[in-house]
Amino acid sequence: MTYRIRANRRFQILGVAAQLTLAAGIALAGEDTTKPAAAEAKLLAAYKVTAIRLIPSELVFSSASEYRKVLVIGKTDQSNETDLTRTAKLTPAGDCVRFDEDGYLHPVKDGETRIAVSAGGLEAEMPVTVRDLEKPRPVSFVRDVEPILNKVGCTAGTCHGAAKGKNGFKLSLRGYDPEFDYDRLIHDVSGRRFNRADPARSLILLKPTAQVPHGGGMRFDTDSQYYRTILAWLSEGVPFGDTKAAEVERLEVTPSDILMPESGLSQQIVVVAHYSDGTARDVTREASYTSNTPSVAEATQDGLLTSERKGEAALLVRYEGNFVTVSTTILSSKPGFQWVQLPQHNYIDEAVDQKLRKLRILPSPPVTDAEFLRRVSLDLIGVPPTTDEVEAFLKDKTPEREKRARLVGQLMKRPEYVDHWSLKWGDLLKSNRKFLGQKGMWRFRDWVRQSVAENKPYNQFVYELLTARGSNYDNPAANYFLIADQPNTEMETTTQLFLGVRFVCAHCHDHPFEQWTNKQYFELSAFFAQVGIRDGARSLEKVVYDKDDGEIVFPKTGRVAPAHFPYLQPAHLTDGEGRRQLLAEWLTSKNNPYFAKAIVNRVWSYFFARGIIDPVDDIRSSNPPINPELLAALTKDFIDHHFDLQHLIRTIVDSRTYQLSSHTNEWNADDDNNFSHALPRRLTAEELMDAISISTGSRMVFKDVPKDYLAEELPDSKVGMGGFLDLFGRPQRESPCECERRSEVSLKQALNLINGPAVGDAVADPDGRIARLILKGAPDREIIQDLYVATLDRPPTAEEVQKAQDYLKGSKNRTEKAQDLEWALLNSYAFLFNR
Amino acid sequence: MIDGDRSSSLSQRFERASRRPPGSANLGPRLRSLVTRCLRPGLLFLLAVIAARPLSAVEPVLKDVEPRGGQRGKAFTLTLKGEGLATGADLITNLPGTVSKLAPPRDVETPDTVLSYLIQIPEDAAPGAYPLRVRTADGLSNVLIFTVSDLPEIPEKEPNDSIAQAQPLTIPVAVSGTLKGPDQDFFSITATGRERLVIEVEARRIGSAIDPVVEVFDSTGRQMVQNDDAPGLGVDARLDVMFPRAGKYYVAVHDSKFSEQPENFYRLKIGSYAYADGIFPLGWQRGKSVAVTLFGGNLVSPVVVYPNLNAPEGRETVAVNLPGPRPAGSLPFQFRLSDLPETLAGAPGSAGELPPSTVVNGRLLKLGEVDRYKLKVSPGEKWIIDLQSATLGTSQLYGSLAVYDAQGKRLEAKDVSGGADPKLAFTAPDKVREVTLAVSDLRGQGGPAYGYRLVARPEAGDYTLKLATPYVNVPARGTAAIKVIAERHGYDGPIRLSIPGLPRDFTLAGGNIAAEVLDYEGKREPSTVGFVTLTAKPDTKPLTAELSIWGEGGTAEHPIRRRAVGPGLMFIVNGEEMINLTGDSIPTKPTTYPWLGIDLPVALGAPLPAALEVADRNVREVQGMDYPIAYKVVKQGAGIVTKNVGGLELPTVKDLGIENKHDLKGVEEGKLVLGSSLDTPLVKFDLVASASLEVNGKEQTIVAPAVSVELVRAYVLELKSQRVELKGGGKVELAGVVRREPVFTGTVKINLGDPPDKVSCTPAEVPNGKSEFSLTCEAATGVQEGDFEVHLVSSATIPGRTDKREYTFPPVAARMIIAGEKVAQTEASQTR
Repeated sequence: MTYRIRANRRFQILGVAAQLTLAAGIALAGEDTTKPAAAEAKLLAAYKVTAIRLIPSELVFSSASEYRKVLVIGKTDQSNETDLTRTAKLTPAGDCVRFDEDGYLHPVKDGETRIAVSAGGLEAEMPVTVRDLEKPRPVSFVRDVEPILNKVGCTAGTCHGAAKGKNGFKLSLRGYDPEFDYDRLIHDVSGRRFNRADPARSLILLKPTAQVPHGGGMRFDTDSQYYRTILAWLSEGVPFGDTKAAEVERLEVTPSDILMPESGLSQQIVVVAHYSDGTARDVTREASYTSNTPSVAEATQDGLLTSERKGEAALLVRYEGNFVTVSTTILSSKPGFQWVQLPQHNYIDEAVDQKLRKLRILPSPPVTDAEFLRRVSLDLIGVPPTTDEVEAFLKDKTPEREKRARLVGQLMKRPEYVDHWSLKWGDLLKSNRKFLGQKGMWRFRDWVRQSVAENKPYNQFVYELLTARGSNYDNPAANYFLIADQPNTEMETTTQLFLGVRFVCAHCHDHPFEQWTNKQYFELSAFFAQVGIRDGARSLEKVVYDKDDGEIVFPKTGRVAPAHFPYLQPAHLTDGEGRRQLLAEWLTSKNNPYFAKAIVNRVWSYFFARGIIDPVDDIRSSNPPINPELLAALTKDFIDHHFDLQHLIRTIVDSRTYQLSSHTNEWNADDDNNFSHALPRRLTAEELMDAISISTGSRMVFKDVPKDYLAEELPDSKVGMGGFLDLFGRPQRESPCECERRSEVSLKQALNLINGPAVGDAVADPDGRIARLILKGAPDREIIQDLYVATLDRPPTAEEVQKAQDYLKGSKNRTEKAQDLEWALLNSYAFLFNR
Repeated sequence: MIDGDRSSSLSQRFERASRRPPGSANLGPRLRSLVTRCLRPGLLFLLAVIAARPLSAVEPVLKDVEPRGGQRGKAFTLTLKGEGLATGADLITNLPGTVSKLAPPRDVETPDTVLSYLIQIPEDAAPGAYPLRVRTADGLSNVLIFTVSDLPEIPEKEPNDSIAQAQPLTIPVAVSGTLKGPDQDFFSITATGRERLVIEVEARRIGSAIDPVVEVFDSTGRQMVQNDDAPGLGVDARLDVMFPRAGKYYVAVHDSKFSEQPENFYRLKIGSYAYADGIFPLGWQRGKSVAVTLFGGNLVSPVVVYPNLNAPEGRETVAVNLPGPRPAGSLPFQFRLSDLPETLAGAPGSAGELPPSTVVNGRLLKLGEVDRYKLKVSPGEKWIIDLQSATLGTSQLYGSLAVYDAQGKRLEAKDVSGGADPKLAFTAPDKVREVTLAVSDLRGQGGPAYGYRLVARPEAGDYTLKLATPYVNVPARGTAAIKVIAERHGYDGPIRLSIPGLPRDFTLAGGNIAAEVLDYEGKREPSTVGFVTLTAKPDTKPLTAELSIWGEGGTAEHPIRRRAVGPGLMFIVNGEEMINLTGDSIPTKPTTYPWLGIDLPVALGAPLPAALEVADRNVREVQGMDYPIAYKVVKQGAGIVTKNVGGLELPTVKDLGIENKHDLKGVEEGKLVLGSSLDTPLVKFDLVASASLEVNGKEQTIVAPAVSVELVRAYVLELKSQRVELKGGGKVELAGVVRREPVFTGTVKINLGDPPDKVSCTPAEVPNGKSEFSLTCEAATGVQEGDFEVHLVSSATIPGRTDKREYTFPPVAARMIIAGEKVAQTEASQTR
């Protein structure tokens, strides 16, 4: 099947975006702007401006209501670009145009003129044409009024955009439904919100200007352009407007990528909306700006971005359902940075280094063999190495990279590899007897394990899940349709799991921070509308099949929502092809911009404690990747290797980036995002329990599973419920979210490790390591050596040996002393964390 | 009569409770203890099963049999283990061969826990499954299943929990083993190069709760193959393995859920025996003859057999197995019997037509195949179209059934099966005289083993009956209850249960399955549950009988008489309960074995330590009032404490429940109060009172003979004259009588609800102690002449209720003729 990109106005703004907060306040003009200007002046003093350029380079006005922000960008002798807008002097040549007090250029009368620009000691000119000012330009609701309601906060979730509205007045959230809002304004409460006879006495003007009491206070005053626009609209008979012509097709945001050499600088953003009728206008003041990291950079509500400190931030620019993200990098002005190139093992290191170099971050040195062995064992097979494995690996004199690669290959053939990765999929796929019954759960587990064992291509794995038919016992993949029982929830689960996208917000309204619309939500859900489930002949057996009927109704219109993808429409819809087959082909296509990226990002996060996009299952414009090039390269490689997960994993762990130490240096100590060093991760619940078991030689016994099962082999959270595993954050498998597994550190956990039976019983196990060492008469040094290697996967240092010997020496009860030593090691940071 | 001065009657509390959302804690603490709607149907079923078998301390119980199977032509010692296996017990079985009782083993401390027999199975015995049970002076035991094959029998030996501990086997072999919880049993075998072996596990088919998985590993411990559920074996497992090279291999058996089961045994069979995994047709008419083809498996070519279908009515299946050659390994297929004419799909002359009330045996031979049948119908005619496949256990078809009109438009049909196979209730639309039925597989699969049985019947209908009790020991001088479940196939009338040939030593009570009842949301639904109780007369001598319960329904012209099918044996499989997405627990049905052909074995059991007596046998309960039923626990000895008294499951009737007014522990006498509300429908059912006792520290349940309860109205109005004549300016008396139920003492207010224009009537009140009433109706001059239907409306306050709500009686219609000199004769009628 072939695909073409849907000509959707929103699709083009995919990419980097910024983290938003719903509670973003609406700041009107009047922020303190002296600080950035001072910083710019300082910069100008430090650098020489070698050239200036104007954005736009020329300008045409054709409406009296238009305005334009003119950017003045200077190039310095340090090859940097800096915003000179606020220090530049702009002088119109005649009276065709004027600048207002905020620096916006407005047309005054028809004619041609030039703006003289002086900045950084350089001069430039911008030609301006003004025409057709007398030509009537009707004001419409969709193009002119709704953006004002959005900008001043009327449609915010905290105001009238709330689910139930506010004080009896309800608008759609962030104006996603102009028809609804128009209807509420014009027809609700018998049309009392506007006054035909005296438009200025309309509630829609009296309230936001606080001429009558308004819970939301004053949103604009009677001298403002907003007031004039709404008044004109009322006076002209409240026309709704042409939704097609007024549709914003794209936003042009300048600049789209900001790099500042140091903090304290500012950058004016200019936003131009391009409409479907071919027109465009500056909407810098009407657009909304939200930074995902305000502590690094933040923008005022008229688009002036100010940097606060070194780091990265993404600024989400939003206007009328369109989003653009501006990535912002603030470099450190700390002197003395010298890039030291470490060996690069593969393209991962190239992409990471490129970013680190740009940010002036120096990566940590590589780990030792012992550190690598422990880390990679825990990451690949979920259990630490045995003492024999540690000793053999450390003795091996094979060149380091070859030795490590060979180890990786061996680990990936271990049965624990299947256990470890099946556990992750079991969590995500909600393999839980609560939904599947016991037998269904076991059968689903077997299917997942088989898929992992045979390294089933990921696209095939997902395809089989989405198209599974028949008995959930005979074709266990069919259990996938039992973990959610409604088309809506099946869609939400599927998109979150396999696309990393959370559609759930769009259930009630257009997604407030994403391109997804309410309509798309139901259109995508329609692909699941004909999934049938009926009882099988065996106890609790379910049979999944495709019905030839079943539709989803789009609540807003009451009509059937056609099965329709939100992007990448198939070129040909094949008659008779089931909806699920179509969905599976679309979703697993290598052309799907989310599918491969989502799993690559997810897998990456298992090795680095965070995704390149994080959270991994919340990919959206406002949550951009920290290193887009790295993610793109990984994604491409994954697709090029036919969705081979083992190849992906092997590539990741082979990289120097993965093999960096967790010890930081002065250049990366404050970097937790760019993979310049390893981030220590607390062992997961299962890893911790199995590590205790292996280190102490005391095997845990679980009820309801064969006695030799590891914790990571357990079929679901019912086994061992309420105990150690749950305390340490094992997910209950109720949600497809990675966040269900908790990795926090708590006092309860600490107390359990110190006083609880998990560690206490293990060290005192009569068949455990200590007992065996004592019984065989091992000398103190051997006990110390063995305990260190078994617990921390490395030999003790000479100092550690000495201290431990001092502790054991002359003891009346060597066993208890040895148990104390092991207990202390088990409670150490080095044991509890994967570093 | 209940106390009249209490603040709130049980009936009123039911009414309040019924106004709350379902599932909310709407009953008072005492009411919550009732066996009413708070219990889910599945749980009620189990409670009823448990309660229906009052356990005496000595009633025989079989727990194990060793070995689980025997080899044809061989003699062996059969050991039964259990409780209450007193010396002198008789083995009841149809196992062919000789049975010689042996002395109990000398090392057994409690002789009544073990019975030993020497069994000689003849060479020509039919391979298959045979029930075993024992009878002692204290009654009958449960059934265990014993199988016969040609494989040598050995027991499993622990420890064999890993490949390293694998128990060596010599092929061919049948191993009797057990799985304790998450146990895994490993065995080692030696195969020759390219040797083909059948490795099969019998468990669920022979009464075990184990759902077995069988796995084969090579000599390195690498898993080669595994099977959980094999075609035609239900949840049992089978592998047909060609071993690539000579050497040692390992076979493992475990439960698919690693679950802990009380019935945890299995039989692992390994050998080179022939087996089929498909059969067609899947059933035929009782007493007729048909060629049945067995195919698939390791058969070189299909085998045709002619099974004997002369089985008694009520028997649902007969066993069909491969005829020689030896050795025999697999258990037979269960071949379905019906009492309807049967035909093969595509039979000569059938022209794709489906004759009504005839079973068509067809199969979907190809992938994606759809079989279509034409059915002649009449507009408005109601049909039940039943497709059987997966539930038979002999088909791999997950059937899908659809109805289309002549234009190919899919017609609306409701699936009323509630199970795996579709059963459509369908009403022919206007102008539709022929429909097409389409049979397909839900997954679009097909093949020789995708057989089905299709029958279309007019909805006027039918029903089948199932017993919820595998056997009954009626305690000497005591009572046992038997629950009967009706599965209705379009018949929605009442069913009366009886036991023909009931020994005179027993007295039967109850036996009413009501027609329709109202559920808690006021929706009408057919009643599906009834009880009969058997009470042993005081001087009854020990006896054993094979009884059958029959149902009588239909009309005098078209009676429907059906025999209740017994479960044979039944048990619950642990771990087959799940929580659905709304958090509700979904229990599953008990596993039953109706194919054993056992209806209702009954024996006189040991006397119970106490008897429960109730004062009434037939009760008329006034709608909206409470009815107290006196009970007494009569103890037969010491150490007996009454814990609670209640009732077995009541029909799901709106606002109907019982409360033990004296539920304090240790109280032997009291009243069970049967409460109803003003909305409780007028139904007739049986109440089986039960008491929970503590007998020397052990819990025991006893029941009383069933009480038949009929809900009735508090009073009935009768008019003396069903018509009245009235002239303009004249008067007339509308007189009648109030017929009261004895317990009803309220004043009845009567009025004419809808007098014609310009006619007025004086209302009447009839206090307690009076019965006659008279309304004076007067017509003004100029009244319109005509023949009018008028209605007497009445109401009364129910005594004992504090809610002031009046009981409103359905109006009684009469005719009021307003004319000149002459008045027509008409009759009054009562409308409901």
